[in-house]
Amino acid sequence: MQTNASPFAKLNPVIKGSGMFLIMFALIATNDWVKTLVFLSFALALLLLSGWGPVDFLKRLAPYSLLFLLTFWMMAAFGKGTNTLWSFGWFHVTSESVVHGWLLALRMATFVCLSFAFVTTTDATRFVMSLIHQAKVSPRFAYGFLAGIRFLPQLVEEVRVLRQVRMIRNVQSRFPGDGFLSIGLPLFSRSIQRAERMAIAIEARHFSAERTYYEVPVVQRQDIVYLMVILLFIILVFWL
Amino acid sequence: MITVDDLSIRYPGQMKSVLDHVSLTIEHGTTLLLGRSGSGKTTLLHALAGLTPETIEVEQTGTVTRSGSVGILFQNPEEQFCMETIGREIAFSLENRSIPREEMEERIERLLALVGLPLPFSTPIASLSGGMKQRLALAAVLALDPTILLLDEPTAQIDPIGQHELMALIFRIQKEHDLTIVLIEHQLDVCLPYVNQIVLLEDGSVTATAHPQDLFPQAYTELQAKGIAVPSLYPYTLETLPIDGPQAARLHVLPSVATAGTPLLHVAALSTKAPYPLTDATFSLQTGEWVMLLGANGSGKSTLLATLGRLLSHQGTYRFQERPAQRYSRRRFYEHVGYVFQQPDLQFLKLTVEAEIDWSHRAATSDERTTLLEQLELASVKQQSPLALSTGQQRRLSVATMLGQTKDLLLLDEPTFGQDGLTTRRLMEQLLTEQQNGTTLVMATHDMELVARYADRVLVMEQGRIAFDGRPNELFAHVPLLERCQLQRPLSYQFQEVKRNANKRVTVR
Repeated sequence: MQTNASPFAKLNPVIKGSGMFLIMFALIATNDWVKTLVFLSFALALLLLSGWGPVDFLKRLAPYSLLFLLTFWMMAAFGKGTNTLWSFGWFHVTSESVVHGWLLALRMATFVCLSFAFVTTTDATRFVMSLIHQAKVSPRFAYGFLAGIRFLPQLVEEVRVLRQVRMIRNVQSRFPGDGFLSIGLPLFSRSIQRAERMAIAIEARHFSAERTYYEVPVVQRQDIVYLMVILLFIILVFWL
Repeated sequence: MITVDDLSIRYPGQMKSVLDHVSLTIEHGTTLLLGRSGSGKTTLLHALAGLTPETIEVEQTGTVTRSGSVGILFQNPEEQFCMETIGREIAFSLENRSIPREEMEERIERLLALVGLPLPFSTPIASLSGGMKQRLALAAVLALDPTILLLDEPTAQIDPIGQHELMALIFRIQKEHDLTIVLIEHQLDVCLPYVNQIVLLEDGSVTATAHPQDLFPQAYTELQAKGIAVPSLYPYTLETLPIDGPQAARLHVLPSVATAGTPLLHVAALSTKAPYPLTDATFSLQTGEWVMLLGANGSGKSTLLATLGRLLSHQGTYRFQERPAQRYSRRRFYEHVGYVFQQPDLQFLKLTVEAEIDWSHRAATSDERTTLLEQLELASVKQQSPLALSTGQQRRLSVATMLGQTKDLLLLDEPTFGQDGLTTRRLMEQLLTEQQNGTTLVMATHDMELVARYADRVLVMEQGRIAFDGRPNELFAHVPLLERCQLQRPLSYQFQEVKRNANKRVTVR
């Protein structure tokens, strides 16, 4: 999670997230592909608000186009339906399944865009603080989550070393999942040790749920406007 | 300031107590806890901090009474942060003390200035060097406003220059803020001048409490024999060190004799793509050579090792045993080349110690493998998981597993980092045996004493380029380069120089 200077980054994280959840729920509730398409364009508009250049846009979304095609194809070729358009071996494409596949793929694309818009404009610490202050999450959980985020880059580094070690020591997988096990075990034991030491360090710094806060995210007028726009948009889409 | 009365601590599931009826008084000033690894130093420090028996669950009897508030600094800076920027990290301590928000900015600024990190609050912690991280961790502890500061090997995980700076900083702050310090530290020469009391721990019991000046002159040889850390010079200086004492004997280094080997590998104009810094490296290595890689953090030591180990793609020539390295299949290549990473516990693939050796030495007979386990002093734990070993044992095993029997080249990335003196010495002996068997060793390190003692040849890296390639003694004489690359001359070399100068003075007279 990171942040940037876009207008979208200035919103309160919890409000921003809830607005997106509203869109996602509305999206699940509809079967109409025109409505879905409208939601997708809305999600793309949000992405533009989150300060992406066109190059970023294509680069980051490119891997998902494959997922998009796959989702579409899975649904279209193996779905149910009576009006057969084309059939070959196991593949059985009907007009109903094509509509379903199209719908599902669009839905997925919208979800991806929304999640990207959130993750690329939200600072992890601010998000957690906002969880504490706006969503009333217990500080114990929230700070645990924050400490956990710091683990991720270290985990990536450790997986890299473990894979190199397997290569250097000439280990080939004897059965599928063998590599996963022999990499997973040391990773797991290290993570437990590290989590324990971290918990001790945090306790040693007199952590308690009764505390003051350096950063207190507040709900501002722009957040209310943002929520209103989304609600209005959903109402318009459904009733017009 | 702290009174410990009849304290015994036992970890759940273990038969033996880590601390056994310990009673002591910690006075104002600086107290050093001294002992071998496993003697109970860290547990005692945790008990003094009040972390036992609740935060760290143990069975505890006896009492610890403190007059004052306590702050504790741990060994690994990475494992004591929970925020992503330096401002928020210090704020976390202030929040815990319920300091009003309006006061925080000013306090954070003052603390950062105190530890010498005048950086913007939004600086990411990940962008700091090891020494800077530890100073930040210190600031975060000082934010708790402790009157007693407990330090668990604060310099073990940082490079030598950072070590000296951090120690000087800690004792300066102690003076300014009138703190009581209890510390565990292996770099005795750096901290002993400040210490008022040494508490010697052996097997969970306190066997001596004394001022360092009373302890070291008598017990020096005895402590050294027991494998307990001893200072290289204290209570003397380089100028006053008696030539026939045990300290001088420790400093005595035989210059290594270069053995004429056969060519092993040759690289020319070797470079890596950005962000890896290696540019235009050209050198050749002989069989049986021990080469040490030196240089500041980020100068390209690890990149060079990774390139030689074919873990990174490269441009330029790399010939291994008269053939281009790329011509070898990975399998063939790693039959000849071993690689020891910084983290020993990531190098194990099997469930028991025995299975690790069986796999790495699969060409050997089972008798040979048993002998090897005995040499490594791992025979008694051969059925245990490698992950359950102590760090010293893990180190020895990780080197052994990367060796196999046919290795011609062993690449080591700071294998002694964060280890105590005893572990380091035994690891070095193990490597020396390999070298004598004809293996070429290339080892990245920050430890100049090891360079003086073991290296045949030194490569100094500076901003991705090889700035020096030659014998250790030539390097030690090259003062401008040493300063530029933040390297210190080893004590043994300084001592020889002092002796030479003294002799010169005699002849002049």
